[in-house]
Amino acid sequence: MTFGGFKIDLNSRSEAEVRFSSDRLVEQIDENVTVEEKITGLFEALRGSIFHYLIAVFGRAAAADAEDITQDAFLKLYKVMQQGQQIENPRSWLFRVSHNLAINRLKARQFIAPLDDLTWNEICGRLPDPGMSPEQRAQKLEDFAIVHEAMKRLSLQERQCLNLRAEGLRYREIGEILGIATPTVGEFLRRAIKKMMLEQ
Amino acid sequence: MSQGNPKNWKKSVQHPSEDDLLCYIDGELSPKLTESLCSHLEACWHCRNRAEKFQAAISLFIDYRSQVVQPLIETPNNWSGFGSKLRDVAAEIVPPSLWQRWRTTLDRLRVSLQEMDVRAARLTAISAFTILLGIAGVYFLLISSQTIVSAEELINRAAASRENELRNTDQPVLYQQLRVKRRDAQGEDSANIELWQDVDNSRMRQVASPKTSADASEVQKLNVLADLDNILRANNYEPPPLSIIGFRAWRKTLPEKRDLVEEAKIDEGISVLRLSTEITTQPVDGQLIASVLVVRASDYHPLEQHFRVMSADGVQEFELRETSFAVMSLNSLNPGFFADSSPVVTSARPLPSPGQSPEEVANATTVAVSVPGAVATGTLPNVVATAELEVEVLDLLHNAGADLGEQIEVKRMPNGPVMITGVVETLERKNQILNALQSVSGNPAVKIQINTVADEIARQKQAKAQPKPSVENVEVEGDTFPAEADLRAHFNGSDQAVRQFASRMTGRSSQAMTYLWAMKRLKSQFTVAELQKLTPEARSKWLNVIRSYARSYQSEIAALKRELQPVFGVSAGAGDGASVNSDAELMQTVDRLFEAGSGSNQVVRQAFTTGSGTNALKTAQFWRMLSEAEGLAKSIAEARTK
Repeated sequence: MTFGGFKIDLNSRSEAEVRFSSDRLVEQIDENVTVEEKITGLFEALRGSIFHYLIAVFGRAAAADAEDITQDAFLKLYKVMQQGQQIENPRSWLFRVSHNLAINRLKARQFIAPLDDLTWNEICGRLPDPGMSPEQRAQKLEDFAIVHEAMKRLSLQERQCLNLRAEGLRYREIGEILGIATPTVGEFLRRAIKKMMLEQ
Repeated sequence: MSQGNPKNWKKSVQHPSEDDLLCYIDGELSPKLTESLCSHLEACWHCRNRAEKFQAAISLFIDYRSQVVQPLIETPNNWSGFGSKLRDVAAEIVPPSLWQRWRTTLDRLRVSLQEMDVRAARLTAISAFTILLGIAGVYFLLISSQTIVSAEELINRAAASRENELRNTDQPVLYQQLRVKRRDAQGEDSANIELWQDVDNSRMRQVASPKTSADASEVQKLNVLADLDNILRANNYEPPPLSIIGFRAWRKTLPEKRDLVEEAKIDEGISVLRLSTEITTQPVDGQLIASVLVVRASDYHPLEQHFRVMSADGVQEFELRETSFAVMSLNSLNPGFFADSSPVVTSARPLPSPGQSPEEVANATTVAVSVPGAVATGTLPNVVATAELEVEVLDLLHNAGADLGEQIEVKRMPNGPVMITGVVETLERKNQILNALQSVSGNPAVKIQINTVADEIARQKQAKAQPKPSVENVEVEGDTFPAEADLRAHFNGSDQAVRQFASRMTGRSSQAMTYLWAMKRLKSQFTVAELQKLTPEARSKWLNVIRSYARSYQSEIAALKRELQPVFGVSAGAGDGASVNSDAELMQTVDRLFEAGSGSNQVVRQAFTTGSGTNALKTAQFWRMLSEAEGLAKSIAEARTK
């Protein structure tokens, strides 16, 4: 992938590496490139994170909508940048807009867990982990099952905070995306983590 | 994340809350609290265990997310469609409007301010606010100065302006010089009027000034004024002509009229407002059919007035233009100044009520002055310049350097004004001198006539009788001059050095003479008796100017001597004149200095001028004369007269 003077191979990197790279890209995109080039670069760097966040929060059934929402968010960003607005933190901005678009479009699915029980059972049967002993694999599945159960009991906001935090966003950014105060973000995160811990 | 309370887990036995622990793990605590909590965790197994459980839960969630959830999520295949959507959106976007750009700029400014520290932001905000206020002020000033007012408002403001002009002077006398022109089927003629209006006593003196037009007869000029006066009176427009009162009174008598107020610029770019009032009824002979009042836009001071009058021969036009204006106190004029003048119908001070009718105005006064009669006598008013005024003029000219080498003459007429006449090289110089005389130019006892050479040539061409001015040139090139042999010997035959030296010496001597001429002119302005009558201040000014010339002469002669001595070798030493302690001594010393200085100047010029007499530079007599002049100049420079 080439844009803004950077060469990045997203496929060869881990999720964390990609996220880190995208952060740096957001900050370092060459000022001389056109708005189209900037948007294309951001799209390639951040589309996966946003899409995954939408699925994680609103469920797999929303996958088709999540794709459109992700693209719409980037097109909106393009429009405002074309109008001369300066977006200080494009990643945070994109998550916020995607989130709002999803809320408007997927209201009916807010309480659907990302994975249903049927799907979960299927996964458990084919979870690949070649380096683990049967005991370790069984323990891992058990742990995942706890988290899976905990996910069902998370409120929408707790789930949003947890997934946005997992995408590497800071508390302040999460607060801006969800329209809540920064201390409230900490509170939701603590509750979400406690729910996962209680199941252990 | 309850960071509002003071926390110091280092010293406290209190354990951090779960919120604090999570914030610590997530790097959301301040550096100080992080350090404090870190220290606590090192010491507290219990809390470290709690933190590890949090971290374990987070790790498990991340694994679940990456290993369970994300593999199930199918990455869209349609991402490639984004490029075409982007192009479609790009094609639909219209360029941002000016308003949007403005908003964008404001947003950027807001963001920049948020990022600044408080002090810088405040300074920036204050500066921006001040600049905006300034811009707004200038804007409103421009708006207000350019606002077209109604006819009534213009008249009221002009009346208020005149009131203000008179307010600060005790027993004010309004002085105006007006240029009057008449145009009709027979052609154009003109005259100048000088008006003095004693505002408090309702007296007026009006006379015709000396004329500038050579071929217009005196009778015609007087007729212009007499005709205008008669026309104005017949139309309820009481004299003086360029007055708000008269205009207002005339305008109120009109049953049907049309007003027009417009902006304009007159000579020298002065912004004015023009009020044109025109009758809309059928005019009859002798009727004033229109009048235009021109006031300065900045202060509503009346500058011009135009009249159109219906006559048997067609339309006559009169134009009055104010060429000079001053407000003086009655005390500054001679007691008999208004003695033979009758009260006037209108005064220069505007009526307090604009609603007063012309009849009321007429009833409020008694006798109308016969202006044509006053004009016909042609007698100049008794405007007598004082000796102090003359000294003031001389001092102003001296300060402007206008009393050396220029044909500026100051002459106080017996029982008359101070006349300042002169010819200067350029218009710029003329303006400099007029500016220097600004403080006295409004005084009716001061008459200034400064022309440029171009003006003078044009005037002389018109007069066809003036001889060409003779120019005396000092020629130092060409044939030999008497002192040349000595100079050649001194400069080892260098032709250029000889010519330059000769030129420099004649130049110095001539410059020294200009100071002597100026001193002599100044001396001749006054007799000893007149000097005694001057006020101490005026006398001091006069003496200072004389001294100043003497010092300048001293300096020039000293330089001349320094250069001549090495070549011509004779010196009588520095001059040392006697002290001057009285006006009579000063007068005598000035005369003696002029004599000695002229003599030495003549010797220098002869020695260095081609074809003239002998070289007397080596004679003891020349050097004695030079030393005497130097000594006399020193005496004058140090004069202490009483």
